[in-house]
Amino acid sequence: MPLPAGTGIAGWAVMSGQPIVIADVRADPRFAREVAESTHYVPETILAAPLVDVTGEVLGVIEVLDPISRGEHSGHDLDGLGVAASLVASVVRLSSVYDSLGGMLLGSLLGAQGPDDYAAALAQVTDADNDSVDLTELARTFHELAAGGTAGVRLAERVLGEVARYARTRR
Amino acid sequence: MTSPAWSSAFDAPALTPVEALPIPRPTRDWAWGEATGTGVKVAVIDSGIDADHPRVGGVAGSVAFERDTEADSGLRVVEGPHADLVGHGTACAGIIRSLAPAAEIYSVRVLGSNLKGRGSLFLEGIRWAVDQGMHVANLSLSTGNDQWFAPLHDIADEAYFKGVLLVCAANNVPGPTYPSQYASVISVAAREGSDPYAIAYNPHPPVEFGAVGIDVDVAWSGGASIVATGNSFATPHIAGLVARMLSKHRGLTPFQVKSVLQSVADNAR
Repeated sequence: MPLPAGTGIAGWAVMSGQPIVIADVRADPRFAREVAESTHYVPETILAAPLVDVTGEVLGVIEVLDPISRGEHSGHDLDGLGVAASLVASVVRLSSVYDSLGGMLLGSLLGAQGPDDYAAALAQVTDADNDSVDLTELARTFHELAAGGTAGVRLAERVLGEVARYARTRR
Repeated sequence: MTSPAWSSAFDAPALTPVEALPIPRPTRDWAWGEATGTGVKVAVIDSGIDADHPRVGGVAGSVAFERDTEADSGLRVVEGPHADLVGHGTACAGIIRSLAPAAEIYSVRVLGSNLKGRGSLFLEGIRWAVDQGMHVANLSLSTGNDQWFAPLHDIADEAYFKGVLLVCAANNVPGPTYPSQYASVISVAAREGSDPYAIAYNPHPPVEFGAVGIDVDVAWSGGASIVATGNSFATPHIAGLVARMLSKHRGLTPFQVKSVLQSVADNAR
């Protein structure tokens, strides 16, 4: 669900870089209305922590809605969420890197004309600077395909596998 | 991986006694008793402030910094009244008002317009507070991006030398965050309890002070009140007490203010 970065409790965590717990969010009429319209579920309590990558940039936000221990141990919950956020941020970062590398490799293999091109493809992946719009688009397509569920993942792997096999036969 | 769970440094069993200076010690009554914050300017650098909220009781001025890709600086400055885009700035202002009812509170909105370039928005917000002669700035925000280490460090030092107290929320996510990491600022984490005057000193910085910030009743946008937790709610407690202290003892420098806060901490002996 896309959310604007600038508003709401998740938005504040993203913008400020700070974890936060808000109980009784329904007391905020604007929040209740906006969230109810988009998700049809209005929580009572929200824990939100920013996902920060290795460079210190904020990648996104992790939220917990209506924790069982609401109203108790809020400080420790927040510490725990901070740890969870750092782990999730690592996974998101890694996933993004794999998407980029996979996309670049695939794109290079598709255009390869011989051993020299394969070497160039590998060199390109090694020096990946993620500037290629086409490859990024390709990577996004596969990412979206895989995000569709198990069948989508299998299809993406099969396509990638077939391309790799085809590339090997042309060598 | 361990998280710098700064709040745990202020748990009652973990609180380490600290030695106060071996000279007549200031008391809380000396520090801020009977004071109201009159004549002290406090900038809340946050998501804006709902000035009409009854727990805020008006603001002395407002300015918003927003990203503008057309401008050479990449920013635009919008003077004049604005709304709180989240409610957080209103919460901070309400806490400061409850402790320093006569303080002049200024809303400096740097959060809410765009995620990109937020480091530059933070920097400009702090610069505005220093240039406009604020006495205290409440900063419930931070960045871990090393790109901003030096510029934020420079402005924090400038604030320190000009006697502007930057009161910054510590961050519970792993890794250093700025400006709360700097020695020139007052860094704050949340601790349990309901006494807004109950502050504690951590002898193992970078986080130096703990104040109420867990399950606290705070003002929110739309005239509401909610219950909130975070270092960002402990911070305005210290900012409000500092404002009161400065209204009673004009001209205290940042290191004097820190010394007084340490002397009146729950764990000082």
